[in-house]
Amino acid sequence: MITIDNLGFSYGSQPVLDHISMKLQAGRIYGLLGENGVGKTTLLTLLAGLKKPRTGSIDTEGRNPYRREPSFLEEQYYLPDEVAPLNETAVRFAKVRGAFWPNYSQEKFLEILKEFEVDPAQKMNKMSSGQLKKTYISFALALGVKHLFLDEPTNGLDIPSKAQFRKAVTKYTAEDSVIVISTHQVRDLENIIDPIIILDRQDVLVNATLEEISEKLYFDYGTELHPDALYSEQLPGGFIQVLVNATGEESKVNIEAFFNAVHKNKELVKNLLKK
Amino acid sequence: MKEIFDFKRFGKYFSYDLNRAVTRYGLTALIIGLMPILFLLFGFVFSFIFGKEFAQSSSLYQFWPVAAFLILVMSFGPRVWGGVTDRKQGTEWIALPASAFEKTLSLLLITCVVLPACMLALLCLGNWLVSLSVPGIDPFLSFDKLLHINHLDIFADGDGSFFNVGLILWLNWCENILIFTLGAFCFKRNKVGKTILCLIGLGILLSTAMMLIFHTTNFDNESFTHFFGDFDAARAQTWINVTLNAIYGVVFVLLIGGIYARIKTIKA
Repeated sequence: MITIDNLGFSYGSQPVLDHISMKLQAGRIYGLLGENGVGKTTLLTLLAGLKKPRTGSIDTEGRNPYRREPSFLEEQYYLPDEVAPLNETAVRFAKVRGAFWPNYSQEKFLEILKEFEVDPAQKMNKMSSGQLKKTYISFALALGVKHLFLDEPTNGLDIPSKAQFRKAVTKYTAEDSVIVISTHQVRDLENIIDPIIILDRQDVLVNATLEEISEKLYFDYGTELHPDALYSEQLPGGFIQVLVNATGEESKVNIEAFFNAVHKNKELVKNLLKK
Repeated sequence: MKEIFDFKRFGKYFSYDLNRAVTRYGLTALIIGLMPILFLLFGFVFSFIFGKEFAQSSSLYQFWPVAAFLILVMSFGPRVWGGVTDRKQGTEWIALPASAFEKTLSLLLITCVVLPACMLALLCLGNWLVSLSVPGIDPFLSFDKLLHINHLDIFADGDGSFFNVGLILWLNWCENILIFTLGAFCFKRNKVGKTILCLIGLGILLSTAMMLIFHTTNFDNESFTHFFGDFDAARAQTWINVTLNAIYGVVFVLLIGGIYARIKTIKA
C-alpha cells in the first residue's frame, strides 16, 4: 500500500500540489485524471522517488521513495509520457536494463512486443513514436514490479494498439501490484481503470472505485433530458446524463461524463464521494 | 550495507555504464587516439601531391596528445552522463536500481582508470605505428620528453631525483575530467561553456583571496625567497610534492563528493 500524507510540491514559487492525501491499495489499477497542469505527472514522479516532496510524505510499504534505495527501485517502474529513442535494438535495450529488476522476464517482453507487432531487432531510434512507446510499455510490463506508474501510456498508440495495451495490462501485471495510470484518454482505459482519482489544482477531488461512484451517482443513457442532471451531453440517439443516485439504482459509469460532472460540480461530488 | 554496495549489482551497473560510454563515446575516442596516424597520412599525401619533402617532425601530430587531453577531459563527461539532466533520458538513469555510491564509483573507474588507460594504449599504438612506418621520425608521444617538461627540477640537486610527472599528469587528468563531469550533472544546457565560466569565476575569486592574504600579511618577494631559502633541494622537492598531493587530494575529494551529492539528489 502507498500512503500519501499532506503532500505538497512546488516548482519554484509556483505551488503544484498542496495538502494531497490518499491511500493507494494493492491489486488495483488507478486511473489518475485531471486537467492539464494540475500535477498528474508531478504526482507520479513523486511516487517514483524522482522528486522530493516540499511538504508531507509518501510512504510506500514503509519506505520513502526519494531515498531511492536499490531494493525499492527494483520493485517499481515509472514510464514517462515522453521516452528516449535510444541507439540500440529493442531486444538489447530490454535485456541490458531488465537485468537490474529481479522479476524481469525477457520472454515476457518478447511476447508482449509480438502482441504489439513491434520488431525486437529494430533500432529504437528508427522506430515511429508509437512503436517506441509500445517497446517501453512492453518493457514496463515485463518487469514484474509491484508498483507501476504509467504516464499517458496510450498517447501515440493507434487504435488496435490501445486495445492490445488494455489486454496486456490486465494479463501481464501481478494481482498484488499497485498500478497508477495517468491519462487524458479516458475512453482508451475505460474498462481497466478502477478506482478513479481526479486531481484538481492543489486538491484531490475524487478517489473512489467505480462501485462507490455508481452508488452515489446515476448514469442515464436515455432520451429524456433531466433538468437536475449534474452533467448532460447529447449523443447520437440520446443523452448521457449524470445525476445524483437517489434511488440506489445501478448504472454503468461513463468515466468521461463522470469527469465532466465532477468539474462542473466540484464541491458537491467531492462531498458525495467523501469516505 | 547492501543498499549502498552490492558486488553483483555493481558488476551489472559497471558493465551497463561502460557499455553506455562505449556506445556514446567509443568512436570519438578511437578517432582522437588514432588521429596522429591520420595527420601522418595527410603529411604523406600532401608531400606526394606538392612534391615537397615529408616533414619528419610535424607539429600537428607532435602536439596532438595535449589537444587530445583537452578534448577528452572537456567532452567525455558531458557526452556520456550529460543526458541525466534531460527529462527523457534522465528518468531512466535515475530510476535504475543501483545505489548513488555504485553509480559514482562506476563513473570514477571509467573516467579515471578505464578511459586514460585506453587512450594511453591507443596513443602508444599510434606512436608505435608511426615510428614503424617512418624510421627516424620524431615520435609524437615521448615519455622521455614528458619527464623533461618538468620545470620544477630547478629544485632538484642533480642526483637523479625527479618529480613524478606521470602521477601529476594523471591527477591533473582526473581533476579536470571530474570538473567537467560535475558540470554535466549540474547544468542542463551549455554544460562545457558554463563549467568553463564557473572555473574562470572561481579562479578570479581565489586569486583575489590570495592577493588579499598576501596584502594583509605583507608577504612579498623577499619573504617568499626567505621562506624557500631555508630549504635545501630535497626538502623543497618534498614540500612541493606534499603540497601538490594535498591540493589534488582535497580537490579530488570535493569533486567526488559533489558528483555523489548530485547523483543522490538529482531530480527528473
